[in-house]
Amino acid sequence: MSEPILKCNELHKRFLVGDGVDAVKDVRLTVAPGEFVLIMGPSGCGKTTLLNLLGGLDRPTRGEVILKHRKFSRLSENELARMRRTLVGFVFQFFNLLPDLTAAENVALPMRMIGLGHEEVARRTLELLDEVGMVDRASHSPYELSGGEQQRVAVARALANRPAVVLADEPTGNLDSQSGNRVMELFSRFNARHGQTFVVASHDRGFREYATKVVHMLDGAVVRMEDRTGAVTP
Amino acid sequence: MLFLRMALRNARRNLSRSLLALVSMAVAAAILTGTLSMADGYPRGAFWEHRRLAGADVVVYAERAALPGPGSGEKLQWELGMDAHSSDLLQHFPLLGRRGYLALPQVRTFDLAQLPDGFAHQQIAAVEPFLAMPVFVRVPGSADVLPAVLRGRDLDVDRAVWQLAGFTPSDDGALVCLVNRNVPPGWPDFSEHPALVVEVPRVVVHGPAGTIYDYTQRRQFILEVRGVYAFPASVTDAVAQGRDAAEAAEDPGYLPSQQIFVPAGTLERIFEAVGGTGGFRYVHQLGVRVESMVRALEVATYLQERLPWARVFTLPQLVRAAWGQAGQVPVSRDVTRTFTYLAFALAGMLVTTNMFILVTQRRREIGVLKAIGASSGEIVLMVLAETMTLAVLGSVLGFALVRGFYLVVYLASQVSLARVGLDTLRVAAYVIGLGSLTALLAGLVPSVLAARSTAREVLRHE
Ligand SMILES: Nc1ncnc2c1ncn2[C@@H]1O[C@H](COP(=O)(O)OP(=O)(O)OP(=O)(O)O)[C@@H](O)[C@H]1O
Ligand SMILES: [Mg+2]
Repeated sequence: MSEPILKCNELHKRFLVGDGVDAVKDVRLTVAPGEFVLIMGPSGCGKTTLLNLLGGLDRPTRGEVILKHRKFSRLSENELARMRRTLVGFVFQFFNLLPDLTAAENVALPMRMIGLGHEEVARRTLELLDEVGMVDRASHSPYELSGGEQQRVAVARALANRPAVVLADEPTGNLDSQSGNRVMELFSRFNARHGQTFVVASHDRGFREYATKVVHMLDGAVVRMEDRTGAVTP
Repeated sequence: MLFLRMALRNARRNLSRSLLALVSMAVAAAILTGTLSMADGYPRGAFWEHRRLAGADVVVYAERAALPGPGSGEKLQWELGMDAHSSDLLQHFPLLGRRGYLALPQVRTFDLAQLPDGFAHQQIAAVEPFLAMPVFVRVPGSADVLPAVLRGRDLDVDRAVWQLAGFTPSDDGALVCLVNRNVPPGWPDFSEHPALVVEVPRVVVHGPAGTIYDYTQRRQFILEVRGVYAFPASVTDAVAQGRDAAEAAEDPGYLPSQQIFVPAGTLERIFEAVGGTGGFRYVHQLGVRVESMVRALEVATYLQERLPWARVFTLPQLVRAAWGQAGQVPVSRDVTRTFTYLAFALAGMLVTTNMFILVTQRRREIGVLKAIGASSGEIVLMVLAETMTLAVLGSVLGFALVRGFYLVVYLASQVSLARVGLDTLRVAAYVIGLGSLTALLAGLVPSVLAARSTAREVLRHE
């Protein structure tokens, strides 16, 4: 097995409300390049919290996240932000396209933030929109797109800078099954064709067939790790 | 660039909220522009003169509004001195008054017998020759003699202008006088005495070159004090004297003057008694009263054509020249300043509120930007870009509206374009600068708070 691209050790997150909620409990996870990791578990089990930690949007109470040899605990907020620009792509349940920008501008935004040249941005934006089947809606505002269409644009945006990992939180949670399937197919295509690494949190069993690894969580802890390539670890 | 575009589109999307911020900024800028244009602006002090004279008759001066002085050159000169004889201008420019007068190097007299008969402009309400004689006055029984000026007042005309009290038409020619209600420094209060002793120098020559007096030969007249008069001073002046501005606005205050008023007929009688012949024929200046201030310039042009040798000034022109020469007069700007800053504080609060609403509405968006990798600085930039754009637009709008109004007013009173331009730039820089600064300060806290909120809580739930 190749060198992990994303790794976390004894990752723990405690929210200080009431008696304290341990949303993520000592999670250990390694993700190799090209893997498709599916995180499953009942509502409130800590999937979103874990993804936030893996993306550097939140700081763990203990433990460490290492993405491409970068230890998050050593990075400042601004360094984390800069790291996200190039290494992490996010896909959210509620699409979260920027409402003041067109579809194309949304896709172009991460590339412009890292200072890519105009022409290259334009070219790659088209390419990405083409891959998600949204070229003809490039100049549309998010209001003019359906949920499924918005999510496809959001996928293109997440992939813009060829991130080390795409973190997706319930990417189909707000879509009808047909749109959801399209998004799933997109994920699998990028995974298969470009070797794009994915970590997806979802209730959607449909993702199972694409996953190389399924992580089952309960009450913040990983209860079972299913390696779809074969072995099952307790 | 992209952030600016996002900011602008967001401003457009939330039009009513944006307009509120813009309008509040515009109002503050308008107030500041108005304040600066009035109290601090252009031309200094002219506003008060305008105000004092608004609705009243306005004097269009002929050349003799400015009296001869020792200087040379073409321009009006400001002379320091207390030559009472020369201080006619005091009547119309009380603010100038105490220490000097305007002078023109070349002097000619108006021959009243030969005035062009074409003074028939329908805007001209009255033509007043200003009659004055240098005299020395003292209280009966006292040896202290003070230089003063004896002025003849046309009872019909002046009553309307100066609201003189105490004369009746039958007084014309009688030895009666009015003294100033406000005693100039160092003078006894003449109004407490029933009569004044006036020593009048002998008239040696009264001709086209002017009037020459022999001060060594004087004749005494005893004038019965009929009452007091007063020159209203402007509010600025009253405030400069240390009075409360609000109170001063109610009661404009009155200026000291060393002029003793007598009816025109009385002055002529005295003039003849000291050797003048044929009454006043050559006078130093003409006052031309016009019906409306707005038409003063038109009348001045009309007069200039008929008196090509004279230099005709409108009151605002003279005020401007005088202020230019006299330098800045201390104007109390405390009240207006306070008002202005309050307006900006209020606008700032509205902007802050607007920004808080903005960042609350855009929480999710800001979270997304952070997730994509925008730094806190970039988010602050984006939020501030919107605030600043609205603030600058608002400031420009408020400035342009109010300043535009003042430009019309001041250009109508014939102010040099260069000065208007320079002052306009200065006021613009100040107003827009202060507007931007307010917006910057007002937007800073909300935007920094927004940038610091972590993306995770933003993205969690809808
Ligand atoms: N900011 C927070 N403060 C306090 N508790 C929190 C916070 N965020 C999450 N939690 C708690 O942590 C636990 C895990 O939440 P999380 O959102 O990660 O679950 P989830 O698996 O994503 O659930 P779902 O499937 O409903 O999205 C929950 O009990 C939740 O109430
Ligand atoms: Mg969740």
